Amino acid sequence: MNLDRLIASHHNAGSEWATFLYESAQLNYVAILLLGGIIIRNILPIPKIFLPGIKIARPIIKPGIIILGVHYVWADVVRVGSVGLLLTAVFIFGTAIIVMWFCKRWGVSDGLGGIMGAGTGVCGVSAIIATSPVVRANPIEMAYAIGTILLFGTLMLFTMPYIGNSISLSESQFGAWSALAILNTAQLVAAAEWYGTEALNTAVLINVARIMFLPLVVLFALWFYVLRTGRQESNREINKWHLVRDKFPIFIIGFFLFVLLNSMNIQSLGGPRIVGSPFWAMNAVYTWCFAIGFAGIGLSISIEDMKKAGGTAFTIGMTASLVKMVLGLIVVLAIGSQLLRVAGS
Amino acid sequence: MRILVCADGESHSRSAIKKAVSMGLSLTAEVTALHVIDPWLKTFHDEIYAQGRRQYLEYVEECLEANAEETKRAFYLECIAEGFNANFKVRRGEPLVEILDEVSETAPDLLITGGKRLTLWGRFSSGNLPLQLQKKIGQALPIIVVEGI
Repeated sequence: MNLDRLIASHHNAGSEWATFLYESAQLNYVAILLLGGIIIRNILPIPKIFLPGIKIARPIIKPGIIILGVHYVWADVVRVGSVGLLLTAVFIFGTAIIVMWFCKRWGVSDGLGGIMGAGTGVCGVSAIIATSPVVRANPIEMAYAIGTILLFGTLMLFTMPYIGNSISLSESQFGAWSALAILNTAQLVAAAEWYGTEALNTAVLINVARIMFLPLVVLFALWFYVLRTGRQESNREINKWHLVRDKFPIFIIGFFLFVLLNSMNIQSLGGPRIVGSPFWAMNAVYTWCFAIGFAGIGLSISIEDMKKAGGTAFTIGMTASLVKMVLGLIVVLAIGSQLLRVAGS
Repeated sequence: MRILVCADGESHSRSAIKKAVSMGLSLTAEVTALHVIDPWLKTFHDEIYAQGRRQYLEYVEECLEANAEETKRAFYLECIAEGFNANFKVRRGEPLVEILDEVSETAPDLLITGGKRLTLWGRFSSGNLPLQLQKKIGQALPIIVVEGI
């Protein structure tokens, strides 16, 4: 039994506290794991022996996303994925180009402009890690940028589900909104799962489209800051093909493999709704992967890390977050639920 | 008399070094500059969708080493310009922890550090190192915080 069902069962039994937590405060298992993790990390001293465990907890979301491939069929990928691909292409390159262009105009260093353009455009800290060696960002700029992305990613994680509920945003619309607006990927997955399963299905599919653009954004940053200006050092010649290959998120292939297998209707594999079948079992496992991952996210949200946010990075991060939040909301409201809904098998 | 000065390569830390060298000369004190290589950035290499992790780790290490070398060079240039002999030391880890460890191991008589001018909000929100040092060390050791130019 997961935590969510435990709260719901207490709610059914009439426990007032559970009713308050589950209905009024909308605290499901995602919120409780995140908040619990944050409280433990920032208030209690964590013994060093647990630190390696916390470190490996967060990436366990990744196998969860691969397994989540069993939720989709190709029709979903084509319909929601193509809308998502179009939206993410506009939002990613729109954000990256605008941020990098304004940074250049306002005299922000190439290193900071490059990592903030990629970080606010694609997938937060992951994009900063992929881009910083290419644009030669210095450690102080990287610290400011990472602190800022973590700060605004966390703020969006804890505010967007409540905003979505207050304006009665459908689950699929919320999923698309979170995939377009939330800067950091871990927070994006957590916010969508917090809102509901349909939100998660849409968010993960659009997010897969989003992270496929990561190598292209890094390539764009290389062109914008290094190749276009002729600043490439002769001893640091960058092979563009190797760059795209190295930055490609290979795990996406695993996700699409499961989508393919699910679409082929192979009887021995069953489906996520066929009780007792292998895909049904995998569907049960993904929640556990996410639960461990969300606890890891909560345990790695450190107020001290977010205090590193500052300087120009803070202004860029705040502006980009707010603009993406508002524009993303307008776009998903205009598109409606139907086109963003994952039907599954 | 022994003076410990924190050196991180930023402009306020360069001002702190100037202050330490001038006090070292006037008080004929032994001055040691401490540079802490902070591996905080490396902890993000395993972000969920991070690609090129090894390249990132190598790049961060290269930057941190280069920063340490540059800080050392600037420190010795300042000492040479003033005709003063001093020591430079490098530690690795979380800066606050490492500085406190250095203080407890070497028991200096004075700690000098650079610091940014903070607004009221900055004092509340910032993880400002000099403020944290003052909180941790209290009255046990005199601390001079030198603001950048």
